[in-house]
Amino acid sequence: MRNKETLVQWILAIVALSAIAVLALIIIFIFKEGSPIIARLGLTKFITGTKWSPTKGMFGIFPMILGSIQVTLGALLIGVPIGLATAIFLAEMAPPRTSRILKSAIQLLAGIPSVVFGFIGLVILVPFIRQWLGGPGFSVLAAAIVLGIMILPTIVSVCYDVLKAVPPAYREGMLALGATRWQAIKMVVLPAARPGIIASVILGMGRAIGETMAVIMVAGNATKIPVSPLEPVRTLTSNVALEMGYAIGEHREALFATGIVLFIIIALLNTLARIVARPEKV
Amino acid sequence: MEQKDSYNYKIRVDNLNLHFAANHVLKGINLNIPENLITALIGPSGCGKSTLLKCLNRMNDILPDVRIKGRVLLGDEDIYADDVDVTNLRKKVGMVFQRPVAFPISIYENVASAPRVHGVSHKGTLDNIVASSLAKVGLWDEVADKLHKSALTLSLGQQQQLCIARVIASEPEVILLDEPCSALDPISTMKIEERMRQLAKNYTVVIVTHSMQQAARASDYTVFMLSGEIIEACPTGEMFTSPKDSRTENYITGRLF
Repeated sequence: MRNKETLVQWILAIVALSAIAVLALIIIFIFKEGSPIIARLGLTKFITGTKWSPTKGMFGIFPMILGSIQVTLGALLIGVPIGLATAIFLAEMAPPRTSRILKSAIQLLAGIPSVVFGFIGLVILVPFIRQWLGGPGFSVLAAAIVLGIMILPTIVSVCYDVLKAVPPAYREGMLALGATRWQAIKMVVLPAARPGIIASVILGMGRAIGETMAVIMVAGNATKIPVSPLEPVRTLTSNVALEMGYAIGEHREALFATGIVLFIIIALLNTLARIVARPEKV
Repeated sequence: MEQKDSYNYKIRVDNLNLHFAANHVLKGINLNIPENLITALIGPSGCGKSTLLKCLNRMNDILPDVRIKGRVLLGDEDIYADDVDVTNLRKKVGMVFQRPVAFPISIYENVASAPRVHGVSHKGTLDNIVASSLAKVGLWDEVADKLHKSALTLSLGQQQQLCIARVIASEPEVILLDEPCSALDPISTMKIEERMRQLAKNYTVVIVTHSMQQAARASDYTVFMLSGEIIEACPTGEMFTSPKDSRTENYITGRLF
């Protein structure tokens, strides 16, 4: 009996460790493949260089860093207000039945493969932007809109849970002061829910910055710095996905180095999310 | 239910019936609540005293499945009339809950939230209201130098005082307290009772309490309820020395629960 117990413990420990080992191996591998070129070119030159031209040996990923930031911020600008408003409606105002139905509809949104989002963006959004706003249609704007919709499920479900976790006594207390429901939400419920709302934004940000397929399909992927939201853009993830298939030698290293930069950005975002989501110390 | 007419009455409850789902919670309540005095509602758990209290500022409205019949007059105004602005009613009839509900925002904003709700936004005016409200509940000296700290840093007793300050900040006519001391230690309880005494000079105070001692100590007028009905309502001294109804006597001497 005692032996069996020990055996189970060992098996579980090995499984758990191997999951962590896989992560460690990925990190080691990316850094091993990518760091030589960063060392050779210099980190500053790699991340601030504006020319990406693998055939000429020029590896500057600044346009892609900027592209990822622009597309992600644009997605947040679109996704956060809509997501938060939806969560407030579902958690605070909608009748329970409506709320249940709408919530499962939004969760369904999370289950749609990203290629489908990209495809719809490609056949509807891109031509629409080309025709009504100008430019090639493949653009920062198109990518931001597609991503903005893709991060909605994350924002809505996290904000919904956070709002539902605000003690009902706060709402009652405000109503007893003669507040309307909206006043109660604005003055007490939202401030109480703020850390969770910020965490949802950061999770959405992580999702947006990591998304690849849908972005490749609508962003145009040019390796220059976009000066208007109607111009094409390439993100860090797109850069890796587009070129990894045929890259060799230095080029391949540079793509791994792109991965390192992406990895560090996402690790920073996760850390940030943990810090702000911590309950406020009293 | 006969009541002596030596008082000015602030609130008159007239044949009030309340059903909650299938339960008949309040059964034909008739009650006059005297102005600028402390009225205590006592009775065993589930007798409807909290429900009656909440009828006075229509906080029962937010529960589903509640039906209310009858009239409640605040001054001359029927608060259940169709054209009553409930937010304005709740400004005039403020409420303090059993557990202190300090909002997770600063002490200042907790108190300021009341006037803000009613449209006051001028900084100087808000400052004055916050300071005078905190002074009226005797909390000013303790919090003056940390107004912008989170209200959750206060002790429970202080949080309850803060809640009373917040109610005062909306300049009510009536203050309802729903077992305000049941979560507090004896010293905080004593402080709150002292404050109530001060407040009764300017406000009509109605308190629900489980503690007979509290009713006897701190109220001027006592209402004894049982199973959704009022059994006896009279000046506190009379009730505790010479109750007219045997059920009242049984309850206050601890023989009925």
